[in-house]
Amino acid sequence: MQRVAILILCSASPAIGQEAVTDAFGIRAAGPSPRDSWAGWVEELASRTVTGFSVPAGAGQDVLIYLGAKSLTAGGKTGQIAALVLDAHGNLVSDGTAVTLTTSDQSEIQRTQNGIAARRFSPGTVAGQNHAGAAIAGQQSTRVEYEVQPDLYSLTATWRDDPAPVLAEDMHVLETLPMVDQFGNRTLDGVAGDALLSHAAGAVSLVPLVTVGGIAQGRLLVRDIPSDAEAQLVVNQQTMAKRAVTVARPAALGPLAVTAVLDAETAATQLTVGPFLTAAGYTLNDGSPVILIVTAEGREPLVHEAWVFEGKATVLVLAGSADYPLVVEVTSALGVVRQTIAAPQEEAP
Amino acid sequence: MALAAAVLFHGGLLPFTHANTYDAFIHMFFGDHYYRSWFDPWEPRWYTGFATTSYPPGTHMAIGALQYLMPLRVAYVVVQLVGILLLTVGVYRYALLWVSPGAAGFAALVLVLSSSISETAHLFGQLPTIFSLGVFLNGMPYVYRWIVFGGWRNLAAAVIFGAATTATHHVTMLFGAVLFIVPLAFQALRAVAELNPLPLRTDGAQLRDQLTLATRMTMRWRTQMAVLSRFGWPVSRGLVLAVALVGAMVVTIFPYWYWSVTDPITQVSIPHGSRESFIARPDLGFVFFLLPWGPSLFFLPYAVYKGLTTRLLPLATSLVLSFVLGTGGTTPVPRVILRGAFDILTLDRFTFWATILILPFIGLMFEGLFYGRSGQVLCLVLGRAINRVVAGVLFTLYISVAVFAAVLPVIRPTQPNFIDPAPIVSFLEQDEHDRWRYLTLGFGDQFAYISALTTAQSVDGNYHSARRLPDMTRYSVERLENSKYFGVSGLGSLQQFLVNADLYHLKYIFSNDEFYDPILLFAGWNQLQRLGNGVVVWEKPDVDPLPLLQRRRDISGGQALMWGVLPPFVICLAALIFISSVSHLGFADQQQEYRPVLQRKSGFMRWVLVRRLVIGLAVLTVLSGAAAGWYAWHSYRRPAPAEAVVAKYYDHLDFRRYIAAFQLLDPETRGDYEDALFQWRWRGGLIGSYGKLVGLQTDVLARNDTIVDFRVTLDWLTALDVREEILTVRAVKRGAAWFVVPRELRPQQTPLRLQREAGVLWNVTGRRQPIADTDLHRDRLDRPDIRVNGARLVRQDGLYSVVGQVANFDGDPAYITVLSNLIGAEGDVLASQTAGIINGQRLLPAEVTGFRVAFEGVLSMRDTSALASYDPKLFVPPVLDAIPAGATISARAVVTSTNLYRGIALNGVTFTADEAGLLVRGTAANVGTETASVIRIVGLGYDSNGLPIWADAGFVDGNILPGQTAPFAFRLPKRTSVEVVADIGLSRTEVNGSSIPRDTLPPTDAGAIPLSGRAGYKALRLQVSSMIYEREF
Repeated sequence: MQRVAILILCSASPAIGQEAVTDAFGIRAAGPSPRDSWAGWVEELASRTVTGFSVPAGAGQDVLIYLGAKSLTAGGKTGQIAALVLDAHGNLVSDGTAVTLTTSDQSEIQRTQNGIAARRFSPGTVAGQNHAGAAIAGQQSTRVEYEVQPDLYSLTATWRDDPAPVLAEDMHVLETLPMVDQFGNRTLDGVAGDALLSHAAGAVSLVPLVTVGGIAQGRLLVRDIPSDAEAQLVVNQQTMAKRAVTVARPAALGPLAVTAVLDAETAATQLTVGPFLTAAGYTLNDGSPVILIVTAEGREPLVHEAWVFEGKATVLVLAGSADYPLVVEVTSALGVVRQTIAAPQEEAP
Repeated sequence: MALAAAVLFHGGLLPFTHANTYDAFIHMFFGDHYYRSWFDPWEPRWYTGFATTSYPPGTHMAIGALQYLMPLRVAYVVVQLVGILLLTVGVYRYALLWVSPGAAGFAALVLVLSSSISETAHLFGQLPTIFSLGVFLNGMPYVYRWIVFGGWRNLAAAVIFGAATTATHHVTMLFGAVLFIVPLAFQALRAVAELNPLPLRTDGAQLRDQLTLATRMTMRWRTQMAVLSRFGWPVSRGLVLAVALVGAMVVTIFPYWYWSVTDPITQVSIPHGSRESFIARPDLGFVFFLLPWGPSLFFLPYAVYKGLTTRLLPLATSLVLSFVLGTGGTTPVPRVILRGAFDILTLDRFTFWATILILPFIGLMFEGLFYGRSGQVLCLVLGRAINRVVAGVLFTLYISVAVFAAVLPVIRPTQPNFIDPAPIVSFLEQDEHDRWRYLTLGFGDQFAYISALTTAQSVDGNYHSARRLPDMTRYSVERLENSKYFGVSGLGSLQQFLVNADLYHLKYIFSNDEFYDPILLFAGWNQLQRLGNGVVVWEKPDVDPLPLLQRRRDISGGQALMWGVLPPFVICLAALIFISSVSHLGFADQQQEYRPVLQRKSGFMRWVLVRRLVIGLAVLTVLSGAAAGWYAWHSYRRPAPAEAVVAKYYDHLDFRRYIAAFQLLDPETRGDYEDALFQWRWRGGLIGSYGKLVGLQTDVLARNDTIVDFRVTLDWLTALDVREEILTVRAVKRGAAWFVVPRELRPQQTPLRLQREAGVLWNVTGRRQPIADTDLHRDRLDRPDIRVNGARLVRQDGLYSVVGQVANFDGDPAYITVLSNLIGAEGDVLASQTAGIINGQRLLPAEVTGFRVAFEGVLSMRDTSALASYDPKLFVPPVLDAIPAGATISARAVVTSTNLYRGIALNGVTFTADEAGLLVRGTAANVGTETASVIRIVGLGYDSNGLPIWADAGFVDGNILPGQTAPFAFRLPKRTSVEVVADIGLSRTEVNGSSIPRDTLPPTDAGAIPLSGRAGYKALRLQVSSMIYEREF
């Protein structure tokens, strides 16, 4: 056992005697190494002595730039620009190296500390796309981009003046004048808003608005809104201008015809309502809803829903010849009409 | 001949049928696991990792080993074919122990042509079941010989075959011991008795009088000793064998037993069709009972008769037991016998074993038909030709049913069409996509094949016994992949994963079923691209990648070594014994000690009676067939009532059987088929394109002799919820038949023939740059400036929710994730949940939306009342350790550029307060230029203080084309039903990783719609978002 211990000690002795170098990255054998070029404090260990010296970093070679936030608000919080300067071997340059930090509005020289030079910068009040960079003597960083966006908090908007009534069968465009922030910057494309239309009896309509070229635009499908309304502009939780929306609805022209034809095969009556003539010079639009309530003698009313197609609406009602007279109530965009049909006008084969 | 038939029939079919089976790809996945890492039993690719020691590895290792020589699928086919060949030989050898060689040969031939093998191999793809039974039955002669004669070689061989069976499928060994070995033991003891007859009995009265008492006692003692010596050793050998088999079972797959004990299956039972009542569910009865039995079912009475009249009684008893257990929930008997195991086992395996146990009887019957008495009778009564015809018909019947079972997936597909896995595998390998987990939807069992081809991980899996995630084990969803087939419960479970994707590092979904599109989009997933195979890739933004070091279960090196060495070792040993016996003795391996039942040589005593019986049976068969055919024809021709026609019509539409639906439309008014098709396809959206009909009710509104008006209530299961649609439908009688009158589309026109519109599009470049680096600082955009405001913890009907509003104050569109934690009084986190579909998610600059984080589980299949009522609003409260005292919110955002369509206006919205709360109703109008297929409206209600109190989401049933409209309605509960538990201040709110700056924000209800206290709400905010992807048309 003793022999083994002596053998181990003998084999270990050369290691103790070997010269070594330590640096921030650990111990290595003395002699040429890529780590020779790394800056910092280096100690040389001989068998009995320890000597040390400092290896300085070289001149700045690479400039890395960091900028944030990349989206700033006009008149809002400051951003920060920072440059990391390295020498040819990747060492941080010595403190005090001059770095020129350039943003859209100004250039300013900062001194490095631990290889970094930084400063805060103001976004200014002008919205737009900007560039920034950092430079040392003979070297520059790559370009970085940052954007100054209009201040959404302070947007103001108003409706474009449009007093004419909107047509019932139209996709009416609701739009604002150009929206600007407190600094006069037009708002970005894609900002959302709403047109909140208040109708009678508490009903509302909500039209989405999206800005394009600084103008908020939305479309109103007029035929489906219940009545005239007051439209209020809502952007960024702020209620803004109001305007009236008056709908020019079609007016009935003459009495409404109701025709009853008895279907012999099915023992039912085919009711044809129309044509729905309007004062505009054309029939009521296709798809306009029509509700028929048909009441036969001594029976419960039957409700039928139909739509106008090519000026008329047609339903097949479960009413045979014995069920006459029929009372027919027609509700359409032209109003409510009630008629009594004593007998079918004709009989289908 | 049987082996040749097996190779020709099954070998010819397997390459084409295995892709349509349920289980083949699962076994391939396991095989691939052993190919990739033979000695590491941890598989990270499914369920966030599971131990493969949870399933015996024999067949999978065989596939894995063959992968060094051939592709994965070929390896599977080879192993399956070897299993069928082994089973063929095994059945022959097992039958030899009971019947003559001729009958055993017929048994093997019938096996090859049987529908049960065909179904098991070509429809179910149950490789271990077939392979293990093949190994098991080949060991039976050694069991028999060991009991009868002894011999350590027989014992060793029997134990090795038992161990090899266990190595391939332990359940076969467990139940096979009861169903196959126990009757064989009785047969062996009977053989022992016959091979060792007792001395002549000496208890005659006359003789007894002549003997002394001592002599009589001596003789009695000798007799008892002879009995004991005759059966004592065989019984002892049987006991030794039993102990040795149990030992072999334990040792061979010890890591499996260890896993079973230390990680018991504590999950909700998965419903399986084999446990249902086959009377209540004839479709399941067909698949799990009638089809596997096939023509063999006709011979069950014959088997029972033979069992009662011959030495085959033990085999017949086992057969009847298997038959009964295979009937599933049709009778209470299986549940009584199996008790708790009933809900765990799949009972179709008993039917499979029964169809094997009956084979010796069928072999006997065929032998009789060809060479025995029954054949002679047929020849004498009906002639030789008829005898041959009968035999031919029987074989034809077997072959026909077997072929039918094999091609059934082609006739009635149970799996989606084959999906080329290459584009998916390629996608996962590109751009480090495999740093996140993925999920497939609508792949069927092909998901396992995809998994086998990639190293990427999935939260899902196809082996439910190994599921480890609580969200999966608590619910009866077999896998997320097919969750729609589990109704509300399944979709709820899926939704948990979709919403909380970041908890599981789940980033990609491959969808082959558009049914899931709505839930994906409104749970915050973006459609990324359509791959070359038609599969759509969905991506969840802002999900962390998997950590480099992942948790795994610690399985000791010893167990890993045992698992990698012992099972293949015993299988190789069994293979050597098998090869040795075949090379020395051939397949027959018949021994003198076998005591088979033999054909009777004597003729029938009463020929006339037999003759009349045979003729009577023949006539009865013909008449019965004719009567059944007549009844079926008339049932088919009988006009259905109007209600049934309407129900059938919507069933056809639901399954997209448009031609069949068209034939039920009124011939007078339906027009051309193309017209009808146009009407159906025009109407898409949540119900039309993504709905599945789950309920239909018809109520008569009015009727005469030829016309009936119905109010039809349709319940549609969509990925988002169950929706009720009420229609007025008319049926008309033409001649004797009822038809459905086609519903007309609203002939609504868009006011603009050509709509010009300026819009905004965004391009977020991200990593799509010509740079090799995967990520650069400059690629990253700032997280948009969002604000969470006025959030509160509320409780309604026992459900805890966090309600609030989030606004995008940034100039860029934002994709927003909102996570909330329930906090106890001590500040401990009780539960975490991400906002799901009640959340705007994608906001334009300056847009505001409400959200509600609902702390709920999902509906469990255990909840029978839920099943009965099918109410999607039912929920399972989360299990909380304490009463919540507050909550925290963490919201974060990234810039997004997709799914920002804002072309939907809400016209004429009314607010009605009633007993149930606040009904919000109106018309959604598409004023943009895209087709909106599904539209969501998020409503956020404010209380009298102007603070958020409740949020909910409503969806529009149908799609809306530009210029068109559709109604919508949704409801908020009464304000008084919502209790505020705690306000969540800014100190408990974190946005983009930091606290919210305390700058001045507008009042929370600013810009909302004033409600003047209707249903207790001061105001309401509506935010609309849409899915503009159009599925078809």
